[in-house]
Amino acid sequence: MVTKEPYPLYSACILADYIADRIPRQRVFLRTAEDYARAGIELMLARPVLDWSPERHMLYFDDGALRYDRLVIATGSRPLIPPVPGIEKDGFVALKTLRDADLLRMAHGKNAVVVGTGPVGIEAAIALRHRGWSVSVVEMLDRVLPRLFDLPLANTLKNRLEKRGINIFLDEKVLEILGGTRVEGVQTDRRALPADVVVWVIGMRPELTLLNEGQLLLGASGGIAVDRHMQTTQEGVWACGDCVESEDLVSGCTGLFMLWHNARLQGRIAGANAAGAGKRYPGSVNITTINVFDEAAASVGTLASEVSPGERKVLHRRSPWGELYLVLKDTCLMGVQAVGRTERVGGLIGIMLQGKDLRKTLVRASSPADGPGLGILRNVRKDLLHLFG
Amino acid sequence: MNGILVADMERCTGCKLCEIVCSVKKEWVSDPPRSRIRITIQRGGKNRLPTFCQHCEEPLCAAVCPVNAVRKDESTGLILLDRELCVGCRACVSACPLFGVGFDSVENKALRCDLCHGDPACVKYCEAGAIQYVDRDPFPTNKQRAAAKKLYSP
Repeated sequence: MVTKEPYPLYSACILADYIADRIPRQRVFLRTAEDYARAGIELMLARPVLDWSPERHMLYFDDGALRYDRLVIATGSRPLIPPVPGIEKDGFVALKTLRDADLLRMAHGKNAVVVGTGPVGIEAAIALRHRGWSVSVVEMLDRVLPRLFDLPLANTLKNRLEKRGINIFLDEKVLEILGGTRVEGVQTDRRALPADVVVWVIGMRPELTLLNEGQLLLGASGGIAVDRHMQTTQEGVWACGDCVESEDLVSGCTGLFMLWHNARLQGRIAGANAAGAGKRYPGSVNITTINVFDEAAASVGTLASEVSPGERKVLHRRSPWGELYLVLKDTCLMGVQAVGRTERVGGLIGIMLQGKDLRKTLVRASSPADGPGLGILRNVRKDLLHLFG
Repeated sequence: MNGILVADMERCTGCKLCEIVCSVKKEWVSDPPRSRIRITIQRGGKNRLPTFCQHCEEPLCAAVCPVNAVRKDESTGLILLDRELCVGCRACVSACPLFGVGFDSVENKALRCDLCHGDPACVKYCEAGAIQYVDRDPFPTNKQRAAAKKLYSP
């Protein structure tokens, strides 16, 4: 196993907890070097692969080469960084790896600017706030967490963040990182924000620098195209994780679903198949949970803004235990967003995956075999049937 | 230990004594929100649904855990939570399709039924007999039969 990372497996999902001092550094690690040795895996850390020859079955390092019979590409993703002036300055951190988290923890100053409001950006902003920074967040779109929530729930979360002292600037584009050798501020199209550290988290792209033109077929989304068995278009080469594109179980769309659970399952399947098994990857589930100052929010499936206006129906419910936002395409449940009691998101996964006509289901009398998901929908039965017309 | 909890919605009265018993046994405090079994009351009190971890064959909760704190115990088949590892991200809470995972907001960790290591306290105190501890093996067919009967009875 060859990686450019200097560390054995760690969980990138909990780096924010480490930045916020909620967990010690060693808890980030999921495997030790000894675990690999016990499993009979030779672990080569801090060995970036510089070149790859699929014809010769060779990987090349700066000081040597490695021959393989079968290859699993799991290069993951890298932060998307457009050519904004000033990104080379000290104090500019594109948060992705444990090293970036270490850098953020070591940073000195008072003002932090987080650019991007995906889950990583929001979690980083909260973690920095916990560390006592004065935090501003800049987002190009009209809402926070734009890939997880539609406007109503995004607004709820934005208010919550602002109440806890995080400044949020929406519909703003970063034009330049200001300062000399060190970061001193961020210039957007509307204002200049003072900054001692800039956290750049506008998104991730598949890490494909290893591939030369035409070596592997890429999908429309820019990830490596793989079949159901995670095999690439090259004989003897499998790929998995953030660097591949996969099919969403709910919408059936092919795209990048760079989530921990998808990557892990793909990894297991790619590995097993490279060893000769015939396992199939069922597809990706687009479910994300985020904690915004001790309140959970979760989202699964498709956003309302991604459904065509003609077929789109939404139901927004506020209750003492949070908010629920259902996205429907005609009479099919396509997405669920929740703030507060997020188990309702999971409760509806089954119904979403079945893709049933909800009108028929709801008109039928309730039965004890309905399960929790349908119970949620029966609670809002009247509104749903009214929506369906 | 090779049993599993079964709940009968129709027998459940919604008294929530099981929640109290569970929190007392597990957390040494009467605090129903920290119980590993929860009674969800739906449709204005018409439906009472006891929910707890079903110890699935292919658990989605274990898949989404970012720290591998949710694991299947190979010897018993139970899905167990390592509370030391849990970071309280609630990914498992939102992913479970069956409301099986609770959340302890005092300790900021997930809550999962471990069947009291084969001696579930909630069963003993359920006066309505709505929660039962039955053998795992014959159970799926019985449950399927019962569900089928309910669905297709004239």
